[in-house]
Amino acid sequence: MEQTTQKRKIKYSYIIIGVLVGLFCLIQAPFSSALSTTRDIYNFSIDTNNHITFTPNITSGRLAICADGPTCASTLWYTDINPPQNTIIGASVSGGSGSYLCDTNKEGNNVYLIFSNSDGNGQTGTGDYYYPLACNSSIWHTVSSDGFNTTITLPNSTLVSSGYNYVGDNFGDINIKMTGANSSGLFNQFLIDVWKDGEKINANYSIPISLSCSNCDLANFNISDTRAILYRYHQYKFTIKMSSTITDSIIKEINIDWDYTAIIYEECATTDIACYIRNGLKWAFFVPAGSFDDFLILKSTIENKPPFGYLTSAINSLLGLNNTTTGAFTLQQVTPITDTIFTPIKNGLSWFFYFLFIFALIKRFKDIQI
Amino acid sequence: MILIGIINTIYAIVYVITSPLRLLPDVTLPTNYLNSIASANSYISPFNMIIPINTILDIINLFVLIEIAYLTYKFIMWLIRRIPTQS
Repeated sequence: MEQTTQKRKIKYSYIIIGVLVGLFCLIQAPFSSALSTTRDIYNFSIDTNNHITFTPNITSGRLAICADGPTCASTLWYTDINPPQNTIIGASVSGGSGSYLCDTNKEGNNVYLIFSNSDGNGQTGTGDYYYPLACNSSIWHTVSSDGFNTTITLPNSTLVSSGYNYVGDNFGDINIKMTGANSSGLFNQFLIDVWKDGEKINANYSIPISLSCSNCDLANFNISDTRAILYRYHQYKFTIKMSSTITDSIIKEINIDWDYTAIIYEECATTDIACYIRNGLKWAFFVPAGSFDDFLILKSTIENKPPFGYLTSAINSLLGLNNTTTGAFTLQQVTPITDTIFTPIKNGLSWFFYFLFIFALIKRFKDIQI
Repeated sequence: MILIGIINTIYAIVYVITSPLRLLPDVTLPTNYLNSIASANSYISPFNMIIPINTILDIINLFVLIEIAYLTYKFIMWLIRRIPTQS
C-alpha cells in the first residue's frame, strides 16, 4: 500500500514538472521573439557644422542624443529640431530623416547617440543601440607642463577649433594667444568659450571671452588677454568661434599657443601636515602668469588718451630717429676711402662720444642732491 | 590668492581713477610736428657714413632715461613729505 502511494507521488511530480515546463515555454515565447528582433542599422556622420546626418532614413523607433550616459536616464525625448540645451540635447525621430544640430553646449565623453527600437519613453531598453558621441572630437590636444602649440585650419565660420586639456596635478593660469597666418583679410570678432568637464563655464566664471579686433591685419594679429584658471583633476577645453560669417578664402589658419605657468601641488599623505602647509602657502602666494596683463591692457588704452597721448606721440616720433631712414639726399661713397678713412673715424667718434657721456654723467651725479 | 587679491584691488583703484580718461578720444600730435621729425631724420641719416648716428641717439636716450628716473624719485619724495609727520 505504502509502495503504491510512493509510485503515485513520483508520477504526479513528473506531471507537475511537465506542466511547469510547458507554462515556461508559453511565457518566454514573446521575450524570445523580442530578443531576436533585428536591429535597424543607421549610419551617421557629423559634419563641420556639427550636424548629424543619418542614412538611411529612420523609419521606426526613436532617436536621442543623451548627455547623461548610455542609459539615458531622462524621460523626455525631444521632438524639436533645435533641441533645448539641457540633459537631452537631441531630437526624437519617428519616420523621416534630416540633420540635427549637435548642441555644442553639451559634449564630452558622456554624450551618447541612442537609437531605440523598444520604446519611446526615453529609456534605453533591450535591443537598443547606442554610440558614444563627442560632437567636436576632431581636434583634441593634451597639454604638457609647459602648454602646447598647435595650428588649426579654419573649416568654416562657426566652430574653429577645440581641444581638451586634462589637468592632473597642475593648477595655474592659461593664456591663449592667437596669431593669424594670412597677411590679409578682415573679420569682426573672435569668441573664445571655455569648457570645464564638458560644460561651458563662461557664465559661471569671470573669464574674458569676447575679443574684438575690427579690421585687423592678421599678419600682426595677436591676442593674449584671455585667461582662465585651471583647476586640478578636471578637463578643460577651449572653442574658438567667429562671431560673423567668414569664408575659407579669407582666413586659412590660426596659430594657438596655450601657455600656462602651472603650480604643482603635492599629493599629501593624511598625516603629512607640513605638506598641507606647503600647498596652502602655494595657494595663498602663487601669482599666476598674466596677472598683470590687465595693467598692460589699461596702459595701452590710457597711453593714447589726453594728456598722455601727446607724450606717446612725441616719443614714438623721436624713436623713429635712426640711421636707416631714406635720406633726403645721398652722399657719394668710394668704398676704399670709406673703409680706410671714414669707418675708423666713425668708430673712434663712437668711443669718444661714450667717454664724453661718462664724464658728463659723473659731473651730473655730482650736482644731484638726494 | 592673497597676492592676487592685492593686485586686483590695486587694479580696481587704478581703473576707477582712470575712468574719466578712458572716456576721452585718442589724441596725437599735429601732423606737421611729426613730419618735421621725419624730415629732420631724412637730413641726418646720410651722415651716418661718417658720424655714428646711432651712438649719439643711444647716449641721448640714456641721458633722458637718467633724468626721468631722477625726476620720478624727486616726485615720489615730494609726495612722501606731504604726509603729516614726515619732514
